[in-house]
Amino acid sequence: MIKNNSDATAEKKLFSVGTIQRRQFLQLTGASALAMGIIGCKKEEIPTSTPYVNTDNTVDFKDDTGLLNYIYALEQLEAAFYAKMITSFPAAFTAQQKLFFNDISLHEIAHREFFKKFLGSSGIGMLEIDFSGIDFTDANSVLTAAKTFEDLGTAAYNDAIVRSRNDYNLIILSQVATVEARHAAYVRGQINALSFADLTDLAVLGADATNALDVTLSPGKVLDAASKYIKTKLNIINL
Amino acid sequence: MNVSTIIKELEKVDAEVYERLSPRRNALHSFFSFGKKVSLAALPLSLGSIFQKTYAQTNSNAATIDSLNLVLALGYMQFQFYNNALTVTPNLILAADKPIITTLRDQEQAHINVLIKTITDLGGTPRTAMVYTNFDYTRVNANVTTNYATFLRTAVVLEDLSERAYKGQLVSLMGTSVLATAVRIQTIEARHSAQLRLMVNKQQIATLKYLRPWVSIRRNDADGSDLQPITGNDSMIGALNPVYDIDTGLLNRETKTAQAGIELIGIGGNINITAGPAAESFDEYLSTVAVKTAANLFIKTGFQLT
Repeated sequence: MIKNNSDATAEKKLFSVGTIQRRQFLQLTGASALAMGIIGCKKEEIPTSTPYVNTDNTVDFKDDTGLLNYIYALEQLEAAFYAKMITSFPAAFTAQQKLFFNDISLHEIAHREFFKKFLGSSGIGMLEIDFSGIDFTDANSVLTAAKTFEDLGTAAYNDAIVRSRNDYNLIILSQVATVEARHAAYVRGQINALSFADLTDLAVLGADATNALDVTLSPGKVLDAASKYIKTKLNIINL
Repeated sequence: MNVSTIIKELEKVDAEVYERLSPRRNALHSFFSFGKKVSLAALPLSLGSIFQKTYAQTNSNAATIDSLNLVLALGYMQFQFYNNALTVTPNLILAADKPIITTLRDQEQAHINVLIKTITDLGGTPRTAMVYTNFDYTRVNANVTTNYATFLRTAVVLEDLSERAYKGQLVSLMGTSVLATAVRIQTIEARHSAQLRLMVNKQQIATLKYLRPWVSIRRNDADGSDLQPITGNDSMIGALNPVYDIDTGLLNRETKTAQAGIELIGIGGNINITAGPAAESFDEYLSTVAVKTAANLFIKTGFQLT
């Protein structure tokens, strides 16, 4: 059985850190024969298998590696956006906005670098980003773009969590999802104080206002929306 | 594939593994003897099916229902808090903020409704509805119904607790149709917390002038820089440490800066990522036991979660 890097890392952590409660573990084993098989392979390295090296920016949705690469691409996009924003804030930004957007920028860099390390050689390369459609001198333009990225990111994570096959990846993705949601609420609040959780407005991204359920969007739709900012050609397969 | 390694690993989390496997010794025996003839690719599946049978009794709707009933209690806890303020002490809330508190109240009601429906659809029994008097919201300060800043600070803690509780249940819900719902509720709770934290910031309370929309380590009130060493949670109320897992070890505390064994401080040569942003960039989960301990800070004797 060939394991991708993230699965291997996940398995190691799963036992060494003891992140999984006993009850949860039992459920996991009961829930999926396949999951059991994967865990069972933990200590038995297959000597003939070589680590997968991602040479052509492949995002292969057949397993969690592809899912994490998809998320890594979005984090690269977000980090690049804020990196550009903080070098020259719109003149209208308050001191607090500068402080908090600087925080957000650092979070997105941390996410990007985390997934880069987590994926290792199976990760895509650094993407070339194009923000020519955004006026970084105009507060409204910057806030609107930030809102788009954060809501889209939250929607992408919420869908990806459900798709993840490995419980450790599920935890990691869910840990970032809520941070993206915090960003989204903050950014939306900068545009309209009452819109931090406006699920009617967010229905287009899959939100359900009646049941107060947040956004969720399939990778295909997210990538469609994000593609205009990503110049590097991604090799997306098995979507 | 080393079966004894697997059994040993199982023993670490389940001391009764041998006992559990015992009735299936025949199955294991045939597995060992047959093993050499089975292709490597098929092994995980055949072995998996043995363990699945061994542990089948734990794989039922009951665990899912338990998870949902746990977060349902937190839904009531939040709903009653907001609803009491809106209906009993409306003057407590700034006029401009009333639509926000109303949104929070209504979205918590929606979560209660969807959780009750989901539990019922699964054939379970939803937790008995919890009323305002079942709770004790004065743990932050006694003036929670008369001081707006105290009210907001308490709300932040309730939202953070709820978000962390959902996150802790997600693995239990993996593979069920309920997972997507739980995931989409937890990001709403995160939105609520961020909004409320910003409202607390606006109050400019002496020790919370730099409270962030994201859960952080304590920030210096002079310049917003990280305040170290880490001696508390960023609500600045020691009694609420259990909500942020400060007392139960370092594993899941909201101030942790490493994820999956990867240190985030200075990651990739980014020296601006100090302890504050490193801790903020990932939210943590709370185990079921930790959620109950933290939730019971706000629940009266006789109604506490067990």
